[in-house]
Amino acid sequence: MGAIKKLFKLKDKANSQEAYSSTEEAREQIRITYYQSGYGASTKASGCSINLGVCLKNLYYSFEDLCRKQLNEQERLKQPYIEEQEKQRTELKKRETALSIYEDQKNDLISTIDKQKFEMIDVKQNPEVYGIQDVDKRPKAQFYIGLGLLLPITIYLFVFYISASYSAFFKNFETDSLTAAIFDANALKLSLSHGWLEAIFIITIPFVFMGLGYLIHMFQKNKKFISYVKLAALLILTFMFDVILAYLIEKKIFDFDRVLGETFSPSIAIESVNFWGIIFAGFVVYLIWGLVFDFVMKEHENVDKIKTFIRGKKEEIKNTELKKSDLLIKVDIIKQEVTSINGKISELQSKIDGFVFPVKEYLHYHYQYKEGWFQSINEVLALPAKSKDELKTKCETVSLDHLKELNLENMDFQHLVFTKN
Amino acid sequence: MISTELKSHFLRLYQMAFADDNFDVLEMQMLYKFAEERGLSKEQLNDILLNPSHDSSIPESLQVRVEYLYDLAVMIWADGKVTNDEYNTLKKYCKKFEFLDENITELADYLLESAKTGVSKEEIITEINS
Repeated sequence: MGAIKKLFKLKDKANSQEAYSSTEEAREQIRITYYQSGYGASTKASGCSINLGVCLKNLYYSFEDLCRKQLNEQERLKQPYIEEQEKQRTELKKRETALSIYEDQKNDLISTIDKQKFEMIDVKQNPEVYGIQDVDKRPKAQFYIGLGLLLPITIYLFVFYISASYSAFFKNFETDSLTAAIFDANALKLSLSHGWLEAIFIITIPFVFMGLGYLIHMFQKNKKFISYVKLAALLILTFMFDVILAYLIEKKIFDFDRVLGETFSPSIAIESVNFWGIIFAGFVVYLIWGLVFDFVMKEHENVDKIKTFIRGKKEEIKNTELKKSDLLIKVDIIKQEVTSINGKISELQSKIDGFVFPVKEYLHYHYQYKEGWFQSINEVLALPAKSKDELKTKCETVSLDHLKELNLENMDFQHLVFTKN
Repeated sequence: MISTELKSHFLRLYQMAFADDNFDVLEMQMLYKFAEERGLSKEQLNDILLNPSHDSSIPESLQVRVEYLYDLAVMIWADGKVTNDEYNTLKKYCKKFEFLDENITELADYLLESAKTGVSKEEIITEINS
């Protein structure tokens, strides 16, 4: 029993006031009011169409005013815009975060580029910092000095071996002078006159020695025991070759000066100054050529190392620049998005600050009012049916004109938003 | 002269009959039966329904409120079924009649249950007053 009593308990008076303001009910009330006021006004004005026009205008302005005053209702209508704005704000936050991340990345890239540019310059001063060992700080100058020495020595070697090999293998001695024996100014010409095969032979012989010198350089690169053995073998071989050349020349000179009964022997050769002169003018110069060549090659490689390093850095900088420009494009896109989101937010804000006109609701009341008006014409006015119809047609035109004027005649959306500018 | 209170009551009953978008013949008959009970003629009821007044008012006494709500519940059962719209409309009126918010659903259920089993208005009133 008590439960039922409790079930039927009423609210306090204070609360009931609140409950009464339920919008649903209020709207229903308003609807009926419009119907009745339409009815009442029509009765008073005898359904006159001109009056209807004025009344509809009044109705519109009072409804608009009412809407503006119904703050709670406006709040409700604006809710979707507020929610949308909130959504846009979240989007904006996301973009801003992305932007700051991209900014950081961009700064990193810029400092990387700066570092790479600095390294390109600094590598010439401090090559060892960048892992380039055994490099002279002025490799270029040393390279050119070495090259300047190497060229004349090469020419000398050519001349010497051409003439020495000519003397050793082909020359018939007509004088015993040493210079003529070792060096023959006409060696090339004479060998050519003897036949092109002989010329090729003596021209290519210097290349054999230079090839040996090149091998010395290559073997020196590998600092292994076997390389040194090979190096020693090469030196001995070259020395032997020189000895053979000197021996042949010495023998020819001996044969030219020979007294009857004498025979040429190695001991005679070893005791001869000519023999050693040939060896030194050839082999020692050859050794010097090999060392200078080795030195020049090394300097050249050093220049190369630094060049390679710089080339690598340039490539890196190019890549970093590419990354940077990609990033800048991304940043641009995001900045555009931020601008458009900001635009949307302020557009929504102006809607929120503005006023939402509930079109459908207004039309509903408008037709209620019109219904009341027509109802009164039907019921109250004492006119023939034909006149009533004419009157109603006129009123209908006025009503349509009124809606047209407000651009509401073909409304298919719920609300019209007046923005605050 | 018919009081605004009674007019409002019949308008509510009328709305309830329309709540399921289908004005059943049984609901129409029920409406006229209620009018008879309250001493209203058919013409008077028609007049009320065709000339809606905007001053809807709710009765003062608890007893009348319960009676009116019970009428609505009976009206709902007139066509032998309870639609969602009818149920919600009844709850809306329970709320409008200033019953406690937390009891609304229970109250509507109780009224519908009583109407279904055919409990008389007097029985409910005595139960509440006891």
